[in-house]
Amino acid sequence: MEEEKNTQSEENESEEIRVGVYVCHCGGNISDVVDTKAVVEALKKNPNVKIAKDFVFMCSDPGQKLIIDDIIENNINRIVVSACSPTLHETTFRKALTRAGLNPYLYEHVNIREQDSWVHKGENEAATAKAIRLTAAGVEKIARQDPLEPIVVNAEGHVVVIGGGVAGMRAALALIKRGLGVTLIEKGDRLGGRALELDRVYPTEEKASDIVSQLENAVRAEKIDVRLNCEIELIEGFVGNFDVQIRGKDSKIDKVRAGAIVLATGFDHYQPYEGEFGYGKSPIVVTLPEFNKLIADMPQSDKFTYKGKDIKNLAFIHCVGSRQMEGVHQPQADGRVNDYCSRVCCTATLHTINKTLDKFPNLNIFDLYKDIRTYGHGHEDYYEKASKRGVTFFRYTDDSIPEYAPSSNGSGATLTMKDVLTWNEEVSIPADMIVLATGMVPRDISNLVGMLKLPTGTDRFLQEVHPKLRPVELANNGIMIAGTCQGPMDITESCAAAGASAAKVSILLSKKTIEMDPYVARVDEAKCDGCKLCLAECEYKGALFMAESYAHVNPALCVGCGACVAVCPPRAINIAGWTLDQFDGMIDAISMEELEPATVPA
Amino acid sequence: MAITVNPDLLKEIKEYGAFDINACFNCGNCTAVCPLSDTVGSFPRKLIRLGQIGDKNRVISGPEPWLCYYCGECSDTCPRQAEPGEYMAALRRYAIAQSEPTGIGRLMYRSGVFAVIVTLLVGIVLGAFMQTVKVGKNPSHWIFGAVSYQMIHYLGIAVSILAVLTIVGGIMKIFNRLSSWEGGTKPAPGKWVSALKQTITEIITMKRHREESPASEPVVWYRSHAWIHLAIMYGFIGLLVATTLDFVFLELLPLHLSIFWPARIIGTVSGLVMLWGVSAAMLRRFSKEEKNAAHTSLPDWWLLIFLFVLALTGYWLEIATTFKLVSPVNDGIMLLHAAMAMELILLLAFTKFAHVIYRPIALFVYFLNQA
Repeated sequence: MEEEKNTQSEENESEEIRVGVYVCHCGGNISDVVDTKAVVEALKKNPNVKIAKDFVFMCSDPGQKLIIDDIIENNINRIVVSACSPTLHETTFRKALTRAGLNPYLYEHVNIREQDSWVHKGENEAATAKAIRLTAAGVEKIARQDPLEPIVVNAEGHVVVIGGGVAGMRAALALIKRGLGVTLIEKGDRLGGRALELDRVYPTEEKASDIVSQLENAVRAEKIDVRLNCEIELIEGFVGNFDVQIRGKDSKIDKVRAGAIVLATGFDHYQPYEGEFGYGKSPIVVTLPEFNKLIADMPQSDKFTYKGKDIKNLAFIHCVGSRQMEGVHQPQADGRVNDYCSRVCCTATLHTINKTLDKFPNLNIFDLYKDIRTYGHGHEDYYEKASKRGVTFFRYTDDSIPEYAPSSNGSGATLTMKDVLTWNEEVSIPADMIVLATGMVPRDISNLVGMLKLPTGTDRFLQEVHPKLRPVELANNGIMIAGTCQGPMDITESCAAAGASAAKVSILLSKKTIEMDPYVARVDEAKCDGCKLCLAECEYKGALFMAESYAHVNPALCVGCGACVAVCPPRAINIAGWTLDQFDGMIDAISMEELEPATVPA
Repeated sequence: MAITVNPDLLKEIKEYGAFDINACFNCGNCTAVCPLSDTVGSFPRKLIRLGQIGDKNRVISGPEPWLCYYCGECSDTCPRQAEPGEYMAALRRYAIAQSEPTGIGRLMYRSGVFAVIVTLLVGIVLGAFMQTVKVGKNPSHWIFGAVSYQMIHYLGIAVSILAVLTIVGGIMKIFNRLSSWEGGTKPAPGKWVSALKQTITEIITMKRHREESPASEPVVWYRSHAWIHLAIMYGFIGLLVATTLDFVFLELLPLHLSIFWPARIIGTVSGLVMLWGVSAAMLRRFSKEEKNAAHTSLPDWWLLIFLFVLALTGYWLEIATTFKLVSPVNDGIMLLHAAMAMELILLLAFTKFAHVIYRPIALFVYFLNQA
């Protein structure tokens, strides 16, 4: 490799690149498949590599000490560790570099466990060759790496929570208890949100109104800045420094500065279209929320009377507005069908069925389902109880969705379907009343989505960064999600999500400043010819702008997506830590023709 | 034609047995483990589902309830403790009750008190009636002090005729239902003879019954469900033959009183066999250790008690006749024996005893529909 290519920008041109390579055995996880000694020997041939070692557990204290000692004693100034996933230990080793007095960004973590030894068991030779190439690429990358400094921004110790339902209140309470200021914004004229519609809730059988008033009292006691009848006019700024404009009932705009935002905007009930299972055409067809409201205050009785008529047979239909199939169900306004499962309606329906039987034990209840997904702790009990109490279950498929037909005498209806449980024979179910278990659809928050470029899934709900690793964070730095704005969930889950969001916000705003990874776009002003092609590509408002005839980057707003890099003809823009030169070097290393896995003498 | 769902049927059937079909979540394990269920006669899940959705006609019109011998394997396997085996037993009781037109059977199955009253009442009427038949021979005339002789006589005849009509009606109803059974394939015209042969073979050998799963705690073969039943069945048939022979030759040969008379030997041996079977069955039902005896109810006891008392009184009478012991007590025992035997036959359409007619018919239809 030519010397001039390896050295980087002017500031460390003088510095000799001295890379230390450390190959981890992971206690056999790696070394049982990959010949770590061979990797070490192969890497030693790289002129930039001054030291190459293998060790049983690099992440252990002695492993980290190897690195620290080499940095101090052997003047190693770039480190590559070939080990597990960077998600696991990248931070560990960066901290080791810091302790040794080296810039933590002069570190490269190569994954030869998940991406090599674990997936190539039994192919030891090929796995070793792959480990060599991956590690060599890591060496080439880090050899072209400048020291970087994290981007530091001011962190406002105040949070705006949007949505005053259960999730919003829970998040607000958790945040204020951690010493942050909280503004809770609610569109309606009281706190509580959708929970206000409910009577008793599963699985604890508490009264929803009790939960709401408990939370509301706590919110009031904690001096949270509650804004009822308010909506968001505009949100500007970036993590740590959001400017939120709130429009009150009188259209007066109030400004609040917030370090982070928690979205708890909730859901809407799916509204059946006119004629869906007779809904809207016959008064005997109601949705589950409507039915719950209807029976909430009814006293226990031998008879169930609705609109002056005795109801003997009551049918519930699951999955109305959920788990829809293209070509089978009528699409929504945006042309898509709701193909997701609304999750809560199965248990909610069975909960309601049990409640109904408590009040009206003489009713015959039919439950028409596609699948029953009572997934939560204690939820299956509602199914079991309903079954034991004589509820008759029918299972339909998308090929035979229950067909609604009003009775000839006009008082009731029949639902006809092929029943999977009756070996697909057609059954005709008499129903004096029909309850549709409607699912959840996302609240219309298109103004916020458009304003902040919030990521949404195909289901139109807000989408987290990763369902397991970062479940309550949006890709937008400093914006968290809590509750059903993310997808269908019940109160228990909403509260858990709200707590997680609050915890994430607390960590973010725990210091006066926020350190962010410096992997953002940087413009080489000498190379930039001001063509402005990049401006059209940038999706993040304020992140990229023109001034003094060349492009400028606001590092706090840039997410480092690289869209601008791709269109820049003179290669004037680079993502720090992921420069085009680095990519070139990595590709060269990975695709090098001659690979000589050094055989280790026995 | 779509099946019209009727949730009340299950509530109705529930009065005939201690099952909990509501608990069923249609997994089908019961049918999977059943050693007797096949494509022609598929049970218990199919009947459970038909019960759940209330297709009364198909629940009782098929031969399936009668193809089950209640080994209890399904109840043992059921993950929801729905007791499918007991449900099948309840269906047989329900089918019997639904086959006789008077409604007496329905009441007898659902109310133990009613069953006891009917049994006693019919027994008294028949006992008294017997007195009117052989008035000269039996001295117990005290009974006619209160009620007129004629009335008792005609009442006895009326009861007998009514009972016989009910039996005939029940048989016709069962035949009717089974012929409209949709479950099977259309039988080939030449199948009748072979189906009849198969049915008779089955009755004689009880092969299907013996093929059922062994009890969860295996017992020696002669104490198994199937062999106990065989003992009772052959004992009963033997006694029936002996009684008939006795009756036919009663006037012809005075010799028949000898214990060595062939009809007597048949009777003595058959009686022993039946007594063994009935005792073993009663023990099984009393201990309730085996799954299929766990839910023993009055209708099960009714038949066993009748057979048990008949066997015991039969031996008493045999001893009395052999040693020519004449006493009013023996006359009373004779009366009890004769009245109970008659009652057993006459109440056939209302009791578990009906299976001796319904099971063969169902088996015949089943064999007819077998490919």
